[in-house]
Amino acid sequence: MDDAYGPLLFEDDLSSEQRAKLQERLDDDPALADGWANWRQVRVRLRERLQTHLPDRRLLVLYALDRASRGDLLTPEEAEVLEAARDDIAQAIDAVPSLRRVVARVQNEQADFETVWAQHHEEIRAVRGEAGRRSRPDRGERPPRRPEAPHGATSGHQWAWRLTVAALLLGAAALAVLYGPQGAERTTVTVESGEQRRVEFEDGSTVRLAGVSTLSYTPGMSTAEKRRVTLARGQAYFDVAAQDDAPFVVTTPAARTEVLGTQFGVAAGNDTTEVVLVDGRVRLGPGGSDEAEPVVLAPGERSMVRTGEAPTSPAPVDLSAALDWTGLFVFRATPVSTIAERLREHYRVSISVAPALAEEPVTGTFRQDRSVEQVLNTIARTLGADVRRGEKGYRLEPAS
Amino acid sequence: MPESAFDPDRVRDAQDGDEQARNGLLRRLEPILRGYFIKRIGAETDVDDLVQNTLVRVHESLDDLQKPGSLKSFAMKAALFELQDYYRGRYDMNEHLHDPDLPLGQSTDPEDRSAQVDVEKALDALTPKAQRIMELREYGYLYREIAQMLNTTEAAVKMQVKRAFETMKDALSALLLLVWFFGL
Repeated sequence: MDDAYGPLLFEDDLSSEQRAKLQERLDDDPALADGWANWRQVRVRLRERLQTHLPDRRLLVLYALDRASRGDLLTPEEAEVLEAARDDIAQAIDAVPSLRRVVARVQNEQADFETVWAQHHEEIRAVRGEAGRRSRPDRGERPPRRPEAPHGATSGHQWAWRLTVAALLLGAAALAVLYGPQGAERTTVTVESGEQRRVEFEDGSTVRLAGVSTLSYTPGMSTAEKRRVTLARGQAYFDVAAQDDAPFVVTTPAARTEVLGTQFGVAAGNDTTEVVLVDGRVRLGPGGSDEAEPVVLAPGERSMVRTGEAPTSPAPVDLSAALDWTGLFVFRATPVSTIAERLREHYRVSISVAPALAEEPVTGTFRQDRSVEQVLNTIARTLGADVRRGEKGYRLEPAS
Repeated sequence: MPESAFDPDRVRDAQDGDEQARNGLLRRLEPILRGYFIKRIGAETDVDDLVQNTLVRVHESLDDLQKPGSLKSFAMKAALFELQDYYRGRYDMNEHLHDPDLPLGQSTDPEDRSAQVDVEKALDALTPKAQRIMELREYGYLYREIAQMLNTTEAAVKMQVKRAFETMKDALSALLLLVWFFGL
């Protein structure tokens, strides 16, 4: 067998450089290109066959649950739909025998869900036991943060709300969890130049560190006294879980920022601290002076503190630009057309938006290391729109 | 997570428009879903999307939940459905190597019956095991996942794929020659 076929068949494993070389070889070797084209054609046919026999994969999930004697998990409507589709599913399995393996895998997936759910139950119970069943407010519940729709358009409002939900969760869902070294008293996390790191605290709050940064905190975060972190230097983007009786305090060399449940960025130097607020409210004051009055920031505002001086008056800021260092796209009630412009700049691809969607406000937070397709697909899904990919780039259109 | 953390009354509140209840519910689901997807597909960056999409799915269809005490099965089905969508779209963005000129004027148009016949014949030349592997691959599974599903090793699966490619290449070439000379 030609050695070229290996990388060709398993191209998913290739680096972009290897992929480029392979593409060059395809361009130079018509026989190889023909073989590859045939192979792809066969794969297309197989996909078509699957799609023809099983247009809705959810039915196979319901079928798998039912076959595992877990029909109790189905609603009456789902049971009815499954019953109506049972013959079609049987025919699909006859035509594509590997679907039996898929059914078995779905059953494993269902069993795994039960396992993870039970494990989580045990962990929470253990934590509560250690804490002596200390009651505390629901850390997960925050005030709703609905963006304002510009035209009072109900549908737009709902759309934006959907992404708000996503944004609420993305802070905790951005990266694999990286804990700093666990010291006996304080834990210190240091991030070097060019790196990013996300730390999750035990109260559910998270911080994303960027650049040359040093952050220290007391493990636990279970009491008001412990919800205090120190950013000695660098840049940090906080997503703080709300606790009514325990403000979260960030101390920098030049300032002290007290918050209740919010997302905000802090850039700390030796003499200055800049705070950019995304959601919620924060009170920003100078670090060592009791004379200077603190200021209260509203979402979308920025303020800066110099050592020993009062904070500057909060001023509106372009969140996406001001927080670009976080490695996140931060959109709050941002029109789709503006988002498209931002994504065009970042990914250097053409992105157009149908006029009907252009002014729809979207609220969401996206990692910049995701592909443009992933970001657009999430936005489209939230809007109830479609992403069309053409020769000239991408286009967001109302769902057909 | 204890069931009491998903108090049916709070679920009902969420359904009735209490946004704090809805937010709290979704935030509590997040770590469970994260743990679940990591267990299923590993600690890949795709986990973020799966978690987020599942939560959006729960959020969008929460009003359809008739029994607030059944949130677990409701979330579980949302996660299983999301996995199915994930498998389906897994390779959509990975088709980097394009050769738009299919050989001998064939197309992938489903209406192109001659091409379809050729491919079906070529598929028949494969062993049943190779066919299963290719079907599962096009379903959206990785070779290592297919190996798990077939109780074999990833290396063995890849060897089957190489052989299938070789067989398919020969079979298609022969069929295409027939088409070329005899207009079959």
